[in-house]
Amino acid sequence: MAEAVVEERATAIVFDEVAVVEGAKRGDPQALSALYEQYFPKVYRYVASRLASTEDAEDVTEEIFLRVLNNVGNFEWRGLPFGAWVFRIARNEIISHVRRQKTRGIPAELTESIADYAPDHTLAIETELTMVVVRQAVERLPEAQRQVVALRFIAGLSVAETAQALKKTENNVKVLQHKAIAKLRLMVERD
Amino acid sequence: MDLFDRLPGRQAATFAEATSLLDDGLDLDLVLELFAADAPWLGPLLRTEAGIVAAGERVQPSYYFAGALKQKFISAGVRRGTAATAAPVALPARPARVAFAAAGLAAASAIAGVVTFGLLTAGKAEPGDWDYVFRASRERFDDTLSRQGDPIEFRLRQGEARVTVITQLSSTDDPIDDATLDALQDEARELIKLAELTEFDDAQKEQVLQFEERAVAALTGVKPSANADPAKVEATIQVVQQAAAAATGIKPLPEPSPSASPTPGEGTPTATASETPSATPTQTAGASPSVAP
Repeated sequence: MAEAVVEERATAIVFDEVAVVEGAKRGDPQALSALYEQYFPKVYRYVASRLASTEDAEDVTEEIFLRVLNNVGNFEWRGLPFGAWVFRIARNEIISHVRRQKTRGIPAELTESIADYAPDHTLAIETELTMVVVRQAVERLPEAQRQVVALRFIAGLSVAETAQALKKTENNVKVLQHKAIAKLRLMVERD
Repeated sequence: MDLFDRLPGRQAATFAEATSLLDDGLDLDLVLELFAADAPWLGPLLRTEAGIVAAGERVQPSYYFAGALKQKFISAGVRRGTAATAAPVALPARPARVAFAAAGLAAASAIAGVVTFGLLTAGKAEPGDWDYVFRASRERFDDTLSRQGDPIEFRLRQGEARVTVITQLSSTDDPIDDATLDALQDEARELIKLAELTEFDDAQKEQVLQFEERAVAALTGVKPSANADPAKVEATIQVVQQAAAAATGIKPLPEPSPSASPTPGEGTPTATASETPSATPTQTAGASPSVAP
């Protein structure tokens, strides 16, 4: 697991965001692949931290990447990192999904487009249990703190990236993350 | 946003620094050593944060889902990129072009509005009115159409319309220019041409006579203040009368003219003395010697 994280960080260092995004706009397969590899793990973790169901997380992640693809041609460099743009799409998609669920009043439907064949079911259950505790605690936070925790500590964005994705200042994010972790510590200890 | 931005407190700033070091790959114990003075309160927070991060990193999508979505993403992206390359490139809408197009559209709308308004209001337009050109155009259009209908009816209507214009101008003391009179003459001459080609029926003859009556009345009633050329008015009357005569076969009553009146030179003594001495005894003094014994 640690090796995977190190590999992810190494990939981030060599990731030329501008070149990759421009290549993806042209339909370059290598650029599209690099873009996917760069953002998929973070986006999936972020979505999974906000949605209880694995099927919902996969559905929403798929929808996010399709939206990225549909709109990448319109993306313009205006001082905002591409990652912040991606996570704004992700955030909006999660909100839309939750609204749809509330409107229907039923759990999200199972997806049939991409089936889940987890290779290690034991690991999946263990992960789900761990995330259940975290998710339940995070859900009791105010929305702003919830968003910061999901992006900053679960998706793995930096303070600056989190601020840009949420349209907040870095100082604001620093305050929110401190308050959120302090509250979560109390919740986890009490539970 | 800057207005409501507040600096983080000392603990929040310290926590942010410490988490940044953890992001950079530093070990938790090493970070706590660096912030030794804050370790009592910072340690529990960083452990909680590390636990959340670890929980997040353990969340892994299934290989199948990750691979299938990647394949879908790349293939869809390649298709879109290819389509975008093949599609015609739309020129960006530059401000000048947009402004020019907007101005053109506005001008076209204004012209269409003026034309529509002109056509609607031109029914009683008179020469000199802004919308008279629309009336003339409509009449020319009607003229074209009339060549496929009854030309006599149309020409009479046109003539009546010219007379109406003259009557209106005269009643308001507006000037009657030559063009207005020429227009009436043209209509009358057209009637003359038609009369040469075909014979008018009784109803048409009656209409022509009414037209003549109205036209002559309007022209003779033109006030001096209308600034109409009297000779032109007189000539127009004559043409209208000629049209009526041609259409009906009834010649207008002869009017006394200077050329028809006797001149003093016509009854010369020498011409009349030898041929008709008794007929003109009182006219010429020279005749009396020839009849004397």
